[in-house]
Amino acid sequence: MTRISKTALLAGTGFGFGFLILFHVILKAYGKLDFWGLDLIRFVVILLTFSGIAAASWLNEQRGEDNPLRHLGILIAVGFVILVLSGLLSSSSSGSFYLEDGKWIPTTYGSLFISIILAFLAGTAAVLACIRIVFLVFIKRNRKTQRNVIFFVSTLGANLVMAGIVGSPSEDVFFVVSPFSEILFAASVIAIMIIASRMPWIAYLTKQEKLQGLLLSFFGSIFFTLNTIFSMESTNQLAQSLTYLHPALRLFVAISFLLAAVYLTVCFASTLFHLPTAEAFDRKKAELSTMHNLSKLVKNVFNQDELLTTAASLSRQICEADGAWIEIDARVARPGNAETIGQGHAAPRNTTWTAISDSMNKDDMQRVVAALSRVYTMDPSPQNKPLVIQNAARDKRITALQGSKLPVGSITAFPLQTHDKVIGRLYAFKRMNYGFDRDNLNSLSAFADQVAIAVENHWLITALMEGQRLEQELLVARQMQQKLLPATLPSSPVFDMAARSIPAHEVGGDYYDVVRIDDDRIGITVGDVSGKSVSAALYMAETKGIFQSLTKFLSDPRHVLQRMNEALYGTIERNSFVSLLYAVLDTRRGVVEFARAGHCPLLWIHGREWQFLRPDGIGLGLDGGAIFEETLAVETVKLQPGDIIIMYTDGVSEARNSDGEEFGYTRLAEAALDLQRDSAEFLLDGILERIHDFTRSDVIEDDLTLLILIWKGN
Amino acid sequence: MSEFTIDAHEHDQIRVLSLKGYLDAHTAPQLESSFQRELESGRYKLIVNFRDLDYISSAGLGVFMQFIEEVRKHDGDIKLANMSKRVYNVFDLLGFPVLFEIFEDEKEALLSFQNKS
Repeated sequence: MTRISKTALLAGTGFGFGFLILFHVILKAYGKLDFWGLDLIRFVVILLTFSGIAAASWLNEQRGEDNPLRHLGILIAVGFVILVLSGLLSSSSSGSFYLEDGKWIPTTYGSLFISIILAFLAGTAAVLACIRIVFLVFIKRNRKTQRNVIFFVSTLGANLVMAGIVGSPSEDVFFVVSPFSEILFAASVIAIMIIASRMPWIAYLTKQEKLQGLLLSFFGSIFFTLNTIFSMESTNQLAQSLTYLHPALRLFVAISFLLAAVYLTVCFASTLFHLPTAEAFDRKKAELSTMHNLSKLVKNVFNQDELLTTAASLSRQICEADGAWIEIDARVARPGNAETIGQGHAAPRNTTWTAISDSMNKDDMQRVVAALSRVYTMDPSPQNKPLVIQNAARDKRITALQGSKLPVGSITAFPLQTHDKVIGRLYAFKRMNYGFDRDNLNSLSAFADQVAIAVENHWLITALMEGQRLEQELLVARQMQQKLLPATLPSSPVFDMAARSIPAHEVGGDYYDVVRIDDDRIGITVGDVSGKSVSAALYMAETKGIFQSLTKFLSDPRHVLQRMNEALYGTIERNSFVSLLYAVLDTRRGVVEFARAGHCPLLWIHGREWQFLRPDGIGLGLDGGAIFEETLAVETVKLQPGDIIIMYTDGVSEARNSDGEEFGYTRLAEAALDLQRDSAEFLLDGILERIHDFTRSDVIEDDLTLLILIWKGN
Repeated sequence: MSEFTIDAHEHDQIRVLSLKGYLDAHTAPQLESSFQRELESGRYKLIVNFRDLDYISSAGLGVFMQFIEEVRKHDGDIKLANMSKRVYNVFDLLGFPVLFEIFEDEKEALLSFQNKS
């Protein structure tokens, strides 16, 4: 509410109050001012003044603050003030009015002022009471609430309009002389009954609040009942004062006080009935809030320790246990998490546990844990069933605990289950025997499911994060592997060379390299390490190291491959091997001399002819030496200008389409024949495009490497 | 994904493993454990029948290399038989024919074991 509207309302109320005083002073001074219009003006001024008070009170209230006890407190205060005031005035100034011509006339100006102030305060109190009750009614409203309030306000309005329009009624009777008045009053009473019949907010109070509410509504109902009687009883000072100000005001105050009296009486009775169940209600509310906490906990799943500690502490709260702990079976725990689980030393083997207790030290807790885990390990059948021991001292299942003098009366345990697997257990114990009732067990059972889900989520998320970390590392590995391949290839007017290697996964086992041996000779190699991904990539790096160091002092293909085989056979795993082609190009003579260690044949394109050359030779790392050396053969090719040498890995020749058909040697050769041969780079792109057109797939199944040499001649 | 099965039977104290389907990096461990079992029970005379094998990758070839040394140390051997042309080409390219005895069919392989002993 803005300051201006507040000021305006206050000014209006003040003006109304002043007008009423003036009006009645004049009325008393001149005896009778007998014309009908004046009475109507008085009625309208009263109506506007109290409407102003109502508006100010309504607007001043903080919306959305649903504290029923606060509303009750204000009601009681208002009722008390009016009761005291009217009580004091009736006793001190009895006979302040005399009846003349069926109208109350104040005996003195003093009693005139006092009675107008009293009436004014009573009216204000009625307005406040009405508004507070409307606030109460709107707490936990339903569809009918608004309708009921409107009904009540309508009957109230109708009563007042009737009283105002019919004009000055007789002063000694309560009702305005009109048959309609009684019907309208009866309607208001019905509306009051309807409003007072629904108080859903009582149930939601805590036990403590219910006791306070009971006290408040007890006194409130008494105050307002008395106030109602005083405002209706014509001999009472309050009734007389109100009627003197205006009979309609008296009607309004009476109805409002009646509303408060009925509402508070019902409130008292209703609270009284709710008291016995207050505790159960409190507990349900606590359970609900615990569940709510858990759902918060589920979001924070990065630390299993924290997760289990909070879960153990919440399970203790749920059933008001003296201690609780959670065991996770390390055998089902995801690898990589196991090292961080648990506090203390895992009592049973293969499990880790997190315990919370006020009444027990760690060692004692451990003994209880050990005794109970034995119950499960001895009897395999109830693994996924809850365990309830109500009398620990007598129960045969936990003999290990008996005689231990541990303060354990009753124990319960619930399996933590995800899908069909028991991943651990939730335990709780109380000092007293028969400590766990059905509600406790039900809540714990539901809670155990929540904990299982939370733990499972934690595992899934850690696995996911681990996966992402590996992915990141593989990406780094890929970048590193790309650096193992030559950044630039030698260029010369006599030949043109291009090469590309595409791994099927992040890293692969394909390898190509080019070294300058001397001014005239260039060493070229293409290889393929068996196996996939990471292991292949590591051997590929090793192969590169061996190749680079050997070609520093060896050039002959036979010698290079023999020495490579020796080096690799000594280090590589028995089930791994490397196939490799090594060629030496003599740029002065235009000759290629090469040897093949189990690798795909070399493709030589000579004019319109093509030929796959495959001298004998077994893969590197398959044999210790003798057989390798015996079989290795060297072949020489004399190049003519325009000749093409193509070296590749089986990712090219064995690229498959959806029918399982392989790209094969012939398609490779034909592609090289068909395509433009001016540039090695263009030819390379062209062949890769042909392979792509053939497989019709963007997914490469195997690492793929292609190296092209176009001989231009001297 | 790729189907791969191994059927093992014995013939005159010689074990015959018949492979079927795709032998690649994913299915190689299956063959590995089959060999492992044979070696653990002291059977070193082994024949691998490739009749129903559709595809073999370099990882599949590696399995044979992994065990051949130990088998031969115990006077046994792994003999290969009934290869399709396509499978044979893979073996051939890598130079396996100089490392393993490869036979047209299972009978020949059996005979070669029996002649030796």
